[in-house]
Amino acid sequence: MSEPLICAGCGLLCDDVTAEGTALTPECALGSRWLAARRDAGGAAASIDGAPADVTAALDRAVELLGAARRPLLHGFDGATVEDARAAVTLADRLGALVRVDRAPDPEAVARRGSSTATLGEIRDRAEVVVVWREDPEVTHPRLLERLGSGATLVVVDDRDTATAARADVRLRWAAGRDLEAIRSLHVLERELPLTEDDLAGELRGLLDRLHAVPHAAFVHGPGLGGPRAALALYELVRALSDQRHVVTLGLPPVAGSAGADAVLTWQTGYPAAVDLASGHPELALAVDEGVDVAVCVEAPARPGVTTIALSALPVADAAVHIATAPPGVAAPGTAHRLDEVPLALAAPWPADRPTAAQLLARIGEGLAR
Amino acid sequence: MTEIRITGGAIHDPANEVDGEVRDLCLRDGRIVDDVGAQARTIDARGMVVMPGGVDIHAHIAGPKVTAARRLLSDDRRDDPIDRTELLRSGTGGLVPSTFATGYRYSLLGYTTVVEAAAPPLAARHVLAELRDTPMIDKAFLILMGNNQVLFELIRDGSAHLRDAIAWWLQATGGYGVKLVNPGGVELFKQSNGVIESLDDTIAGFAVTPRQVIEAIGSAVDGLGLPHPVHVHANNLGVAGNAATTLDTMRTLDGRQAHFAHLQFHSYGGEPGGPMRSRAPELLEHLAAHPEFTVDVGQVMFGDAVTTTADAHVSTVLRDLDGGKWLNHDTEVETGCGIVPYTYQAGNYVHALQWGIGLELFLLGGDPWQVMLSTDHPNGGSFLSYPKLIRLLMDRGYREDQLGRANRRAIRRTALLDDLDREYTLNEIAIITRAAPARRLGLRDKGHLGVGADADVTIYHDREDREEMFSTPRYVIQGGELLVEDGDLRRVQDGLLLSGRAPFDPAVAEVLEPLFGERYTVAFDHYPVRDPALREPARTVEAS
Ligand code: SF4
Ligand SMILES: [Zn+2]
Repeated sequence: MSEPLICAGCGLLCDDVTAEGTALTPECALGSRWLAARRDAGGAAASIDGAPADVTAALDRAVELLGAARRPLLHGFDGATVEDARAAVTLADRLGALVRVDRAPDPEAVARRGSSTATLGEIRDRAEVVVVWREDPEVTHPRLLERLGSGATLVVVDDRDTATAARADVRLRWAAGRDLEAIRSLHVLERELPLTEDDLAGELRGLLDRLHAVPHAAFVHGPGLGGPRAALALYELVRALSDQRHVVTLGLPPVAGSAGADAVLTWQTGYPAAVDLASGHPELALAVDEGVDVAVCVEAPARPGVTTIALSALPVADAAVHIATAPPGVAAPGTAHRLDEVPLALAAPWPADRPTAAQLLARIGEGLAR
Repeated sequence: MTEIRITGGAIHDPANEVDGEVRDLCLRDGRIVDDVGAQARTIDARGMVVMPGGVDIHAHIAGPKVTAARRLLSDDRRDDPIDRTELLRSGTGGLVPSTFATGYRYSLLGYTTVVEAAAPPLAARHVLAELRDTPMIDKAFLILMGNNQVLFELIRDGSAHLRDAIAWWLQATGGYGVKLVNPGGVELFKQSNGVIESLDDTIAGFAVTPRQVIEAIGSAVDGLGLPHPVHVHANNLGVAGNAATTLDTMRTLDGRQAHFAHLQFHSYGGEPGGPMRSRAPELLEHLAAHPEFTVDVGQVMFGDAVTTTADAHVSTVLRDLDGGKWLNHDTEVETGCGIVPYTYQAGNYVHALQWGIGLELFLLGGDPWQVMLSTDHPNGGSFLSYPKLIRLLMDRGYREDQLGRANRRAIRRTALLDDLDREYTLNEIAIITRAAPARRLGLRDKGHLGVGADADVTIYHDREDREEMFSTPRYVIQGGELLVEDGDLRRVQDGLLLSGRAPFDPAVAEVLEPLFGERYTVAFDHYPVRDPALREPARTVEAS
C-alpha cells in the first residue's frame, strides 16, 4: 500500500510524495535512503554507555550528567523539528548552556548586509537564469531542478563534472579558490569599473550579459561557496543587480532540520546559529565550543570526544546515553522549515511507540527541576 | 478562583462613558463582575488611574519577517540583554526583541492584546509558533491577501466564491482578519520592480486592477461580517503626493467598513520625487464624513527604527537612500517582504514632516474613536516609545519643546504652529490605546471595564510626567491575574490566540485546489494548519 509522505530527506521537503515500502514516487534515491534508515531504525529504546537500558534509566542518567555539567552544549538538529528546537532552547536557557545549530548557514553575511531570497515557486515561475554556484543539487537535493521547472537557462559554476553540471546549459569551470575573485569581478563589471583583464574576464562578461538580459534571475549556493566572505560578496552582487531586475539567492542547507532550528534559535534568543546562554542571557557564540563537558545531541551525529546524551532516531556512536526517538516525518509529526523558509507539517505515516526529542528534552527539564 | 477588588481608583472606561469616576472595580475568574466576596484580594488604587488593558491594533511582532529583522539586527540587541530568572526566559531587546522579551515588555507597558498586522498565510505555522513563544499578551494576526494570485483570478472572473475563499483562508491559518498591503503593487514589484501609478493600472498577467482588488476584498470582508474589517495599507506608501491615492482608496471603499493602517505614511502632498507636504487636514475631513472608516496613525519617533514591511518596493527605495542593510524575501503567490534599518532625525526635513503629520492626525480635531495610536512598530519606532508619544499628545509644553527641536521648514508646513493647544485627556488616551482598537477589532470583551468584560486592567500612578506614568504601570492585570507590579513581572502566562471565523461553503475547496496546484509549490492538502498545539487554545471570534 502506498502512503502519502512529506519527505525530509533534504531541505526540499517534497510534499507530493508517496512511498511504497521505501520506494518513493516521484522517484528519489536520497529520499528512499532517508526513509529506509528510519523505517528500519529498530534497535534498543535506550542505552547507557552502549548497553541497552530502559528509557527512564537513560533519562535519569542524562539528568545526572547535565546536573553536574560545567559547560553543557545542546547541538545538532540535522533531522529535528521546530518543536524539538523549541524544547532544546528552552532547556538550554534553564541550564545556561551553549546552543548550536550544527549545519546552520553562517549568519555573518546576512547580519552585515542583508540578502534577497524567494520561495521555490517564485523562482520556478519567474527566474529565466538560474546560476548554481559550486553545488551539486542533483546529489544533495535531487529534485531541486525538477521543482524549479525547466523554464530557465541553467548556468553551473563548477570545475568538477558533477551530475548537476551535466545538465547545465552553460558551464563555467574556474576552480573553487577563485570564487571570491570571480564574484568581486562581476561586481566590478556591474558597476562599470575597469576590470583587470585575466583569463576569467571573458566568461564573467558572458555571465553578466546573460543576467542583464533577463528580468529575473536566481543564484543557488551553499557550503561550496566557502565561507562568509564569498557569501557576503554574492549578496552584494545580487543587491547591485537588483537595481534593474529582480535577483534572489537560494541557499541549500546540507540537512533538512537546520532551517527551522535556526529560526527557532533566532526568535527565542534574538541570535542565529550559535548562542551562549551561560551569562544568564543570550550572546552570540561564534567561537569553537571550548570547555564543553557534556553535550545533548538532537537528531544528529555526536561530537567526538565529548560526553554525549544523544536523542536521535538513528543510532549514535559512542554516546554516553542514547534514547531512540520516533523519526520525525516517519513515525512522529512535527513542523519543519523548507530550505526557502516555508513551514510544513511533517506527517507520521508509520507511528511508533517512541518519544520525540521534544518530549525527552521536556522530561530532562522536569528531572533537573526536581 | 481569583477574586480582586480594586478600590479607590479613578476609572477611565470611555466605552462605558466613565470618565475618571472614583469607584471600586471587581474581578473574578478572569472577568469583570459586579461584586466580590470579602475574602477578595484588595488592590488599593487611591490616587491612581484605572484603564482597560492596552490594545495594539497594528504592530509587527512575530513571523518570518520579524525573525529576518532579528537576523539583520544582531548588533542592535547586544546592549539590551534580558536575564533569565526563576520565572522568566532570557532574551534580547532592541528594536525587534526576541519573542519572550516582546511579550514581557508589552505586558510591562500595560498592554494585554497585540495584533501582528502582516502575516504571509503560507507562513502561518511559523507565525503561530512564534506567537506561542510570545507570552503574557493575547494576540492575533492578520493575513496578507492583497497580492494573492489565486484571489486575483477569482476577482478577475467575478467568482461567487471570493467570500468563501477568504473565510477558508482564515480557517486554514488561524488568522484573525484580512490585510491588504499595497494591493497589486507587491505583485508588480515582484514582476518588474514596478510600482502602481493609479488604482486603475492593470496588474500584468491577471487583468485586474488595484481598485478591483480593494473593492472586491473590502466588500467580501464587509459582507462576511468578520469581527475586524479589511485592514488596508494603501498603495504608494511614503511617496510624495500619495494622499491622492489614499483618498482614492477610501472612495473605493466608501460605505464599507475599513481600517486604514499607519495613515501618516499615506498623507503626503506634493509630486512623486518632489518635496513633500502635509495633506493630513484633508484626510481628517474625509474621515469625519465617513464614520465607517478608522485609522491608526503610524507615528514616527525620532531615533532608530527598522522598516519591516510586506511592501518590499518601499524597502528598495530606503535601501538606495543610504546604501545600508537590506533584506528582501518574495513569498510565492502571496506577498513580498522588505527590511531596512532606518533612523528618523529631527533635523531632517522629510523625517520632521512625517513626525509633524502624525501629530496633526492626532491633534487636528479628529474623533479619537477613529484615529488610533500606533507607531507601526518597529517601522516608525518601537512600541516602547508609546509613552513618549502619549506625552506629546497630553502635554502641550513638552510638545512645543519637541517642536522646537524639529526641522523648522518642515514644521512650518504643518498646522502645528497654529496655536494648536489640544491636549489629550486621560479618557482620550484610553480611547486611542484600548477602547477604540478593541471595538474596531470586534473584541467585545476587551477595551472596556463593564461587567462581563475580560479582566484586563492596567493601573497607573497619576503622574504629571505622562511619559513616566505610562512607561511603568503600577499594576497590570490580565485575565484576572496580577502579572505586573511596579515594573516587575510577577506571574507569567501564555496569553490567548485570537482567531476570526466566518462560515463558508466547503465546496470552495474544489475551486481552490486546482488554482493552488498551478501556483503553489505546497500541495493544497498540506496548506491548512491543523496541529492543535499551534492552533489551540484559542478564542475564536465569530462573524456576525
Ligand atoms: S529531493 Fe529531497 S525532499 Fe525531495 S524527495 Fe528527494 S530527498 Fe526527499
Ligand atoms: Zn505595519
